[in-house]
Amino acid sequence: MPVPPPGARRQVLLAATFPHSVWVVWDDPRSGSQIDFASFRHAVRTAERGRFDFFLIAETLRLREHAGRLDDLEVAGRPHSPTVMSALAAVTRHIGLVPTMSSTYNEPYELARQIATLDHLSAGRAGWNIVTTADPEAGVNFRRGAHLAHADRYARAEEFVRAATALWAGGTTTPQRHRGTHIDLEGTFTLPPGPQGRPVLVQAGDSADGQAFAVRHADIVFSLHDRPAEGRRFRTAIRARARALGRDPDSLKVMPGAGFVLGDTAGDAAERSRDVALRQVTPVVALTRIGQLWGADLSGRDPDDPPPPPAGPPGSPAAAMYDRAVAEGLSIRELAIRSLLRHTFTGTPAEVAARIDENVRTGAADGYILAGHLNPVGFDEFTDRVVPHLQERGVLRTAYTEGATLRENLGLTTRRPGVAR
Amino acid sequence: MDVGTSLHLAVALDGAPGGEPPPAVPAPAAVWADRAAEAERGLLDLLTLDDAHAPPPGGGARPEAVQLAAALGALTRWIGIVPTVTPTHSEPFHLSTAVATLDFVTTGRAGCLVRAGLDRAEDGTAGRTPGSAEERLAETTEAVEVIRALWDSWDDDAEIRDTARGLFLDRTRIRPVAHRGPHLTVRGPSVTPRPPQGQPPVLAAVRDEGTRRLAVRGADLALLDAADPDDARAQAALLRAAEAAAGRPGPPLLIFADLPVALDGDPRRAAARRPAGPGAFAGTPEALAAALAHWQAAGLDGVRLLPASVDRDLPAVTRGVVPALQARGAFRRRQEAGTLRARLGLPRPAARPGR
Repeated sequence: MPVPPPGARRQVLLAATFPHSVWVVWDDPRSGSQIDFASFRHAVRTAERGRFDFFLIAETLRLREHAGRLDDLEVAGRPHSPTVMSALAAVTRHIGLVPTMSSTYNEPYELARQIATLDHLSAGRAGWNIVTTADPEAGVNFRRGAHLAHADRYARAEEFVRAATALWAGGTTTPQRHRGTHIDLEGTFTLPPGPQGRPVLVQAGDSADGQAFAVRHADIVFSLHDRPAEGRRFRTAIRARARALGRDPDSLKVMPGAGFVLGDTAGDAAERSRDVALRQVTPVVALTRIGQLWGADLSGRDPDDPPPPPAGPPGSPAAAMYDRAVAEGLSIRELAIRSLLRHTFTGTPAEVAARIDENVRTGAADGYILAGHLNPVGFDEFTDRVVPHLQERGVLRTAYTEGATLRENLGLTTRRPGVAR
Repeated sequence: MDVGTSLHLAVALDGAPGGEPPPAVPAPAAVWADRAAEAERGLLDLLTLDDAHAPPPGGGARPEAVQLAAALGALTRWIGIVPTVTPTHSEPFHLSTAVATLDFVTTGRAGCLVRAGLDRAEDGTAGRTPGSAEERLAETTEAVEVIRALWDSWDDDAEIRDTARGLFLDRTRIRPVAHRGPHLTVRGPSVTPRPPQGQPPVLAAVRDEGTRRLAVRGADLALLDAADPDDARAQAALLRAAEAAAGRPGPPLLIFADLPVALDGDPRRAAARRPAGPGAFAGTPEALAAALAHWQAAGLDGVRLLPASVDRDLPAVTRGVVPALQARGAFRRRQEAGTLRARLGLPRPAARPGR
């Protein structure tokens, strides 16, 4: 593992995610396909040019619906995440590749083979972003059928990861047998241990169960806490819990998801942020999204009017949002923009680089999982304009270490196969 | 080239069963890429990738076929890429999006070879226990229906990007499949848009009555184990009769024979490596080219060659057999544009609601 020289600045970890959501500005002339392979190739190569650590793709197992109707507002239509990553392994050389896959609607033998194949094909660049699938309706597409209760989903994830880890470690020589409440598996794996021993495990999910799972198994926590103060509290708490389990806290990296909008001056950046926000939250998007949160049909309303009181109980997320709208005098559209959007880093390239560096230096994060608002060119500007500032500050590599695995690039403690934690 | 005179050629990139054992550590992507590039240079129609939820019988490593296919798909430009899938042991929903994704990666060169997962040694890997052999064949047939219905659950033009109304999708052009069968309940729609070919070709190996029924009901292309051209003619007749009995819609099944081959300029050296299996051939590339004319005359659309040694026999196919076929006017001389379906002479179907 490359050891930073003494006095080296604390390195910033960077990942790029390919957005599929309502927040993609799909009517921009630069906006391309969200499904053609050329789009994924462009995005991953841009991130590799920017010396990012890894590229991540989220997953859904069902198209979004609302009130029994397909949601037609957002950028929908995704690839099978490990399959597009295996294709990207063939057209990249250094960047990590992290598909998102549900532990609820996959089986460990098959999933472990897909990730292990990706790891071998990419010479040690595979990860797995573990989700337990929050959509209670996804079960309609799978043999498992009825959805698991929240607590059961993490119980299954726990057994699942132990089984997958044992398969990776056992290779083609050691038969595996797992009899649990949720996992019943018997068989010999079809691949030897991969180049990085165990692929990098990313955990996304902020619940108490999710955090408990993360401190036991994950190498990276994909958190929601992109504001510095919140981020510091969260990271400090996660590290303390890891330490309490006897784990080196530096073996668990915290990477919040974050958006960015750049400009030539601070004023220009703020103006662009405003412009992007208005294009992300169009009137129809504002009425639909707030309507979904309210559990009400707001489609006839004027988005520039104040929101009606939500029907939910006091203390619900909708009630808290409503209180905010009243206190700040926000319209429905403004409320949607303020509550739902995250332009975490808005500023000039130099300012954005300085803030990322400062956040990492002061323990608000180990790095960020960035999402652009354009497919597939959302990272071009970041790579061309922010990355050089980070490199100048000495907090981002100017070249990859030849032959390094994702685990090594992330500076993670080496995990031998078979060691669950 | 006149499609009517052209024989289709496929190659099993893993080689013949019982041939050279696979290495203990999976070959690096570069090795597989070299093999795929060789097959592509030889203008072969498609390559297949074997798979199972268990290590190879003689030991060695086995990468997951769809993942390997995706990597090869990104490194090739022309050849069809057909991984093996096992719907009794994998979720049809995942298989549908995975093969659709492969079709996007290859811009229309993907297919899948469906196997019924009859080997009980693999059962412990499935997370459930599939039923009897007969049940498994029925479940696989049903799974292929579901996979195809999911590919058709988006119309080709479902993404509308209607700026005026702020709509990305036209929700009337995306439909649930609402499948409720004896083995599977899948609501859909897919999360992946309709793949470039609409329906990537589905291949199935025909080994007996049960797999024949599976191929007739679910596949576009059947792979036969035939001892010789006469046997192939008899089996093809059985398939045609089964098609007629089933009232199969759409184009008739394409029929290929699986031929294990060992090739050498010196026929005695080839004979020393003669592979096992029905229809096995050992001899010179020219002799194989001549033999293929007899297989084609038996009513076959093509053959899948299973090399005894991929590294020796694949180049002998591409540099020996193919030029000999070209000299006979029986094989294409250049890459033809289009998708795998188009190359196989299969029309691109429209999305059929409730298929």
